[in-house]
Amino acid sequence: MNNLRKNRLKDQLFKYWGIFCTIIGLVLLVVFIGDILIDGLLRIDWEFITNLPSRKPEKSGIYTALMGSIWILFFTTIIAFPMGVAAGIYLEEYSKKNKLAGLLEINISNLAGVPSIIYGLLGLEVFVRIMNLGASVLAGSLTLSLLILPIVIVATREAIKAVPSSIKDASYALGASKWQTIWHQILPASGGGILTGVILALSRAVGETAPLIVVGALAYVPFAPENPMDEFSVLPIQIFNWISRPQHGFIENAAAAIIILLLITFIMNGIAVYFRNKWQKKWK
Amino acid sequence: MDNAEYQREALNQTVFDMLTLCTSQLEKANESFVNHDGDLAEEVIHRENRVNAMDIKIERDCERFLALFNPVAIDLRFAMAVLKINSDLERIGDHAFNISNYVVEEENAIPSHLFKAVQFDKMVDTIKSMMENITIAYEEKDVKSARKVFKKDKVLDKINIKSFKILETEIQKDPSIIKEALFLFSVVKKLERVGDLIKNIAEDIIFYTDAEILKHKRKK
Amino acid sequence: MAEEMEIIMEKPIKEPTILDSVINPSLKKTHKIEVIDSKVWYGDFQAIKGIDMTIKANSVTAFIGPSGCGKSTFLRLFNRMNDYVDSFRMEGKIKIDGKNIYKKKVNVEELRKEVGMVFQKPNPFPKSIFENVAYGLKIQGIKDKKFINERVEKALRQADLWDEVKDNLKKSGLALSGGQQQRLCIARTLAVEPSIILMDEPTSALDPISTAKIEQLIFELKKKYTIVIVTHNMQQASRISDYTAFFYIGELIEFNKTKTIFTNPEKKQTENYITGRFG
Repeated sequence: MNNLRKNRLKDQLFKYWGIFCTIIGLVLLVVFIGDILIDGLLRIDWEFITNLPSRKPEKSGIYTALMGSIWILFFTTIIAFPMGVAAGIYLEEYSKKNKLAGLLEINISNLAGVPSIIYGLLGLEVFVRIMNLGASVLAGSLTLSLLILPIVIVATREAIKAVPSSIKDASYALGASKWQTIWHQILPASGGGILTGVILALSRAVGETAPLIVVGALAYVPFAPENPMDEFSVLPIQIFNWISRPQHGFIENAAAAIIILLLITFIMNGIAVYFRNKWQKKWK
Repeated sequence: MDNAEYQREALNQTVFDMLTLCTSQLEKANESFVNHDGDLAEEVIHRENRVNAMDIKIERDCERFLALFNPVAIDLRFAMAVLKINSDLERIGDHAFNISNYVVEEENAIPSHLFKAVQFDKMVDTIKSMMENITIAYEEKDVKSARKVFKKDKVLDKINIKSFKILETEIQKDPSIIKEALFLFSVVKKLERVGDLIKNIAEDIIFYTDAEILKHKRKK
Repeated sequence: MAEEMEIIMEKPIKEPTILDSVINPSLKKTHKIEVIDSKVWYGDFQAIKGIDMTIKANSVTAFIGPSGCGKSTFLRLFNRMNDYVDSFRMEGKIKIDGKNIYKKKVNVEELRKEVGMVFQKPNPFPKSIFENVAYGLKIQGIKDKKFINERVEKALRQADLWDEVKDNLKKSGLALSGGQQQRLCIARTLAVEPSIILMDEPTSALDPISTAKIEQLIFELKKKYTIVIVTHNMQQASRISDYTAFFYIGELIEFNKTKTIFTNPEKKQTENYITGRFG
């Protein structure tokens, strides 16, 4: 077989291999979602969402876990978002680009890969015990903030790097100070990218289980949190709890809760994609 | 109008001024020769400075125009034509100057029967009309006007050729006028050369306007 | 505008600076920019090796020379844009209107209101046309809407862009064509009303017609502003500038009237560069 035919064959082989891999992934996803939907879709109704958990599966609801997740999400956002963005701006715009800065950059990227349970242990020691916050929404939010902080910082830096330096040059040349350039040009231009990164980081936080368990999120919680110092539970923990129960009714509940959790995740990702597209259009 | 056009227009205007000046010099020189008007001749001699100064200015401005604006097509032909026209005009000015010098240096007027014999009036009128033709041609980029001078130049050539024999006869008739006759002969030759110079200018105008090179071609 | 054109028609070729100093006599002997023994290093590399130069007000000065010879670096000394490069180091004095701009107490933002800059690749902000032009005023803290509107219109008119955009100032600056974008950047600079405008190869990214429009613009602007332009295009330098500076490997080889540089330069090196014999 001569070279031309060999190359063409390689082309075809690779193409079909790629299609095959893609299909496998899609098929698995469809099977998984389909299975969950079959198991849990019928269970979802208004009562399911508003009921407190109970020993009887038919009466159990996700209200407290859902509320807990929302509270955690809220506080994590107001802690991690400003801190992460500010740190990202500082590192990208203000700090000198020397060896120390390079070292810092590597370390922050590494932090994003640290197993989440480590953050849980850290949170337990520092927030729950030393700062005496107990197993509260605040402690949980602080822990998760630490977890997603590196992600937010990296996303912020990448978004800022994507702003062409010609825009900064033009702003400086007109007599703007560094802060004015950041506030009026860089942030508006990178805003979409930053927002995308933050939303993706938060949607990961929504699904975190291990660190919150360590911090002390309870598996059986009969009430929704009313202030940041209250105890709490979250959807993933509730799901975990239900799956460990023997009654079949709880399996259904778990499936239904998984659907709700997936829905939340998809919606958040969808918002992130929407903002990213809108942001990219600006540069066309 | 942008910078290049400003400069081009200015150069154009200066050449036109030179054309006007040389036309006037020539007319005055001829008039002073015919009327033996010493004062008029002095005026022409004095103004020769201006002709020379303008010549230098146009050359310098043209060099600048070429160096700074890299003209192409019609603008380039314009610059090339300007240089040649300028040079020809300067020579016309020179002839006017020399004719006026005769008037000043020579005390005796040329006898009018000599003028009549060589048809000097016709020569002067022909030249005047040729200068008008090229002035219109230059100002309005009118090729037709430029072409008129070729036929008229033949008149000058004829008068020039005949003048030898005519003046020879007149000298034989009356030897005392030999000096004046020789002067007249010289001036007739000069005016014939002026005719050639005017033809050159016409060719240059046609080259610039139509990109048609007429040199060394037989003209109708 | 018409009267000014008439004046120029009367005295077509001689020094235009004499005209402007008739309008404003204090301009007659002004050295707008004065450079005294300027040297620049980027780390260990010496980019500028001791240059002296004076630039008159209301003139257009062109910087020419082969790539990498320091012309852009030198240009950026005048508005201190080199300050953002970490390894940049400068010796010598740069005086604008008689005051050294590299003294410690000089406020760089104030300096840039006097000395504006237009860049090689048009770089409008991703905002509306109006906001682009108004930006320079906004950062100065000016809030008077009427004032801003007037300045924006004036700047767009001066940049010869008003007629093309006046019906829709809210359109994004990025939606304009390349030539229009560059004129927008020029308007943006003019809105701040600097007295010096620096241009770093402003037309090298544009098509010939846009280039011609901007050259015409520069010719108009020099009546009010002092313009320094870096260009790779020698014909452009010869067309629009009054003075030309030829740079080579960090040195100023010759600085003279453009007329002289292009008809009879003093240095052989200059002549070799201009005739294309090297570089």
